[in-house]
Amino acid sequence: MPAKQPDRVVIAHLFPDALNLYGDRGNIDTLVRRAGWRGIEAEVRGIGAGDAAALRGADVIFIGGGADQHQRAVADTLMDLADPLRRAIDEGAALLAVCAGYQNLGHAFRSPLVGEIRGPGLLDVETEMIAGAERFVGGVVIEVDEGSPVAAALAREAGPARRRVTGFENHSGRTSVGPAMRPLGRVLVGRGNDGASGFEGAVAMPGDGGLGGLRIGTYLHGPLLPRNPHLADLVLAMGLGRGRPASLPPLPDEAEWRAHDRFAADWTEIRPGIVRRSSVGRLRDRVGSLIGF
Amino acid sequence: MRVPGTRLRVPGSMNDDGERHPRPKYPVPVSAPIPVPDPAPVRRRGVSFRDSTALLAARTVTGVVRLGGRAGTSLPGLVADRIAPGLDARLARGLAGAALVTGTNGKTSTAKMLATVVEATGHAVLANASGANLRQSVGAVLVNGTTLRGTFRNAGTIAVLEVDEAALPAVRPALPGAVMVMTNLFRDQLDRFGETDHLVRLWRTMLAAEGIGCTIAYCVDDPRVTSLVAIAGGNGARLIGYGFAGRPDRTSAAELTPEPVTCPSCEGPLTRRWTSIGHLGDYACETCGFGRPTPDVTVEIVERRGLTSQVLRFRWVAGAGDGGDGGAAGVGGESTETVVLRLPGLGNAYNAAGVVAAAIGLGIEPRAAVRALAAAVPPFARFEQFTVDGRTVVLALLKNPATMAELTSVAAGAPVDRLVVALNDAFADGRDVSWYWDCSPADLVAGRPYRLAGRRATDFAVRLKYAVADDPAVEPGGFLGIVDDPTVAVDQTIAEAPEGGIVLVVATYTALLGIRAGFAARGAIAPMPR
Repeated sequence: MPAKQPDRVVIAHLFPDALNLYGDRGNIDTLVRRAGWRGIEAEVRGIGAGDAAALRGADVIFIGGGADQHQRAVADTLMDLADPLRRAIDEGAALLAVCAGYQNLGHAFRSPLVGEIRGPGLLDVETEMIAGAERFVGGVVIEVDEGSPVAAALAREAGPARRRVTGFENHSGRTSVGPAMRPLGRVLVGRGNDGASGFEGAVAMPGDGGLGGLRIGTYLHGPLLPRNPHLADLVLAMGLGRGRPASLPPLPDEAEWRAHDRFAADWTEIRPGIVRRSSVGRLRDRVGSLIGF
Repeated sequence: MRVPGTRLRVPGSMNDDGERHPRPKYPVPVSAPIPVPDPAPVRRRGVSFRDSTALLAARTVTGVVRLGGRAGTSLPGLVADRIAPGLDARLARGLAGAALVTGTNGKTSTAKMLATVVEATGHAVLANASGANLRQSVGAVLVNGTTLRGTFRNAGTIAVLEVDEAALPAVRPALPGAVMVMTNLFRDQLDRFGETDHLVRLWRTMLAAEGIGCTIAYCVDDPRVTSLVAIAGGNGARLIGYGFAGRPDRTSAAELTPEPVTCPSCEGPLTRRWTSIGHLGDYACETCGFGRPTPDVTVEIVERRGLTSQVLRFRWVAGAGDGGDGGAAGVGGESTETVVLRLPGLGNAYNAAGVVAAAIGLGIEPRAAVRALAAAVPPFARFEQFTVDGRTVVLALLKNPATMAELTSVAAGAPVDRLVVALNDAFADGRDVSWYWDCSPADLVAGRPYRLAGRRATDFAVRLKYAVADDPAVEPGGFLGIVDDPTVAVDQTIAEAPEGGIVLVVATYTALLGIRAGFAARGAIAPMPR
C-alpha cells in the first residue's frame, strides 16, 4: 500500500555554494514547485561543513556539479558527513547526485592531477580521470531497461511509455558501477558513464545494498529534473514515502514532455549512439568555425 | 589570381618609384652580413617575398569566401599564418597603438566604444567584427587591414581588437605592445572551453610573462581578474583599475546564482561589501588581506533611461592618466565628467569605465574620452534599435546567466510592449543552455506578453513555468506560445504589437544572426559589418 501523502518535504542541498554548476538550482526548483503544486510545503536546507544535524529528517538529498577545485574542496567535508548521510538514506531519504556529486559520493575518484580522493561510498561507483582523455560533451538520451524495478517505478509516475531520461553531459571522468548498484539506463544518444559500456548513471532501489532509500547518481544535468518529470516525481515520491513510493497526484506536464521529446529528437539527430563523432562531422564543424559559420 | 589595384612584388625587382627592394628577410643564413639599415625615416618598408605572398593569398581567400556569401573572418588569417608564420606580429609593428579587449562579458561593447573614442582623437581605427575574435580572425583583420606591402592604409592607425578570452594567450605575442583591457571572468558557455578555472590557468601563465612595458586596464570589481593582473603588476606592468563608485541600484533582482568565488589568493572566504552583477563588487579576504584595489576610474549611474540610454558620471584621479598635468582639479585631485551613453545597463556602465581606463592606457586624455563616449552607439545586437512598420525593435544578445541577469535588470525598468525570447543551441550559441536556470527570468516577462522561439524554446518554456508560476506580476495569458523559427516569431510579434510600441527581442547568437539578417535584407538595418 502506498503511504499517505505528507504535507511537508525537506530537501537537503549539499554544498550549494561550491557545487552549483550547470543550472543545478533547476533541480531544486523543480522539486520545490512539484511539491508545492500538490500542496506539499518544501523546506530546502543548504548543507555544508558542520551541518550534520540538518540532515536529520531529510526526505531528499541532492548534490550537484562543480569545477575540479570545488570538488576537491568538499571531499574532506563529505567524509565527515558520511555517517549522517548514510543514516539519512537508510531511514529512507532519496539521494540524487549529479556530475561532480556523482563522482564525489562514490568510493573514490582518481586523477593524474590530484591523485586519489576517497569518497564516502554512498554510491557503489569508482571514477578515473585519464589525462588527455576525450571529454564527453553533449546531449544524452538513455533508456531504462524494460521490466527493471526502476522502469516499474517510473511507470508509476508517468506511465509505461516513459522509460527515457534526457540530459546534458560534460565530463572527462570514466565511472564504473559496482555490483551493489545497476546502471540507470542504456545510452541511446551520447557517451554515458565511460563511453564504452553503453550505460549511464547508477541506481539502487530502496533496500538495495542494505540501504533504505532510493539512490541515483548520473552525469546528466541540463538540469536533469525539469525535463524529466517522471524522475523528479520518483525522487519526490520515494523520499516522501521513506523508501515506499508516496502517492502523488498527477500534474499537467505537457510543457515538460514537450521539452523532453524535443531535446531527445534534436540530439538523436546530432549525436547518434555512443560511436565517435564522424570525421566528416568534425571536419564540418572545423570548416564552419573557420569561415565564420 | 590578382586582387584589383594591387601588384605582386618580386624581391630584388624595381618598384614603382624605381627603388630597389630590400632583399627578402627569409631565409636568413646564420652568417648573414649585417644588413645595411634603410635610410630613415622608413617610408613604406618592404616586406619579404614570403610575407607578400601570404598577404596576397590571404586577400584572395577573403575575396573568394566573401563571394561565397561568408564573412571570411578566420580562414585568411589561417592561410597567411601557414605561408608566413608570425606575419601578424610583423604587420602589427606598423601600428601606432593597439588595445586587446577581452573577458567573458562586455568585450564587443567595450571594443566598439573604445574604437569610437580613439576615432574622436583623429586616429584611424582597425577593428574586428563582433565575434571574429579568435587568433586566426585577429590575424585576418591585420592582413586585410594592410596593403600588400604590409603597411596600414592610414598612418597612425590604432588597432582596437576584441579577443576571445581563451584565445588571448595565442593573440598576445602578435601585439606585445597593446594595452590589454580585461573586463571580467564570468561563467560562460561551459561546454565550449571547459570551466572558468581553465581560463584562469591560461591567463595566469600568460600574465606571469608580462612586466615592464605592459599596460592593463582591468575591472577591480572582479576578484578573479584582479588577482590575475596583480601577477603582471608585481612584475612591473602598469595597471589601471576601474569599477563602480559604490553599490549600484538594481531595478530588478534577477537572482543570478552567485558563483562560488573564494579568495583567489588563499582560497579563504571572501567578504562582500556589495555586489553589482554576479560575483562583481567590493570584496575583501580577512585571511590573507587580498581585497579590491582602489580604482583609478570609477563610474556611477546618475539616471536610467529605459532601453535607450543612461547618464553616467565618471571620476578619475588626476595623474592616474592625465599625463601628470593634473587638469583643473590639480595634481592628486579628482576630476569628474558626465555623459549620456546610448547603451543602457550596469554592464555597459562597466564597459564605459573600461573604455576610459583603456583610453588612459593609450595616452588619451580621460575627459576627452568620456566626452567622446556620447557618440558611441550599441554594437550588433547589444540593445541595438531600429524601426520596423512603426514599431521600435530592440535586439539584445543572450549568452550566459550574467547577460540574462543584465537584460532582465534593464528590461524590468523599461517600457516594453512585446517580448520575444529565442534560444538556439548550435555550437556558436553554446550547446549547453542549462545556465538559464542560474538566473530568474521572471522579471523579464513580467508585465508584458511574450513569445518563445528557437531550438530550445520548449526547454525555456519549462524554465518560465517553474519561475513565474503563481507570480501575480506576470500578465495572465501573457505567454503567446512557441514558434520554432525565431524570424517568424519576431515578425508575428511585431505585427501584433501596438503602433509605436516597443518589441524587445532577446536571443542567443545564431538566433540573432538569423533575425538580424532578415531585417537587413528588408533594409531596416545595415547588414553585419564584414
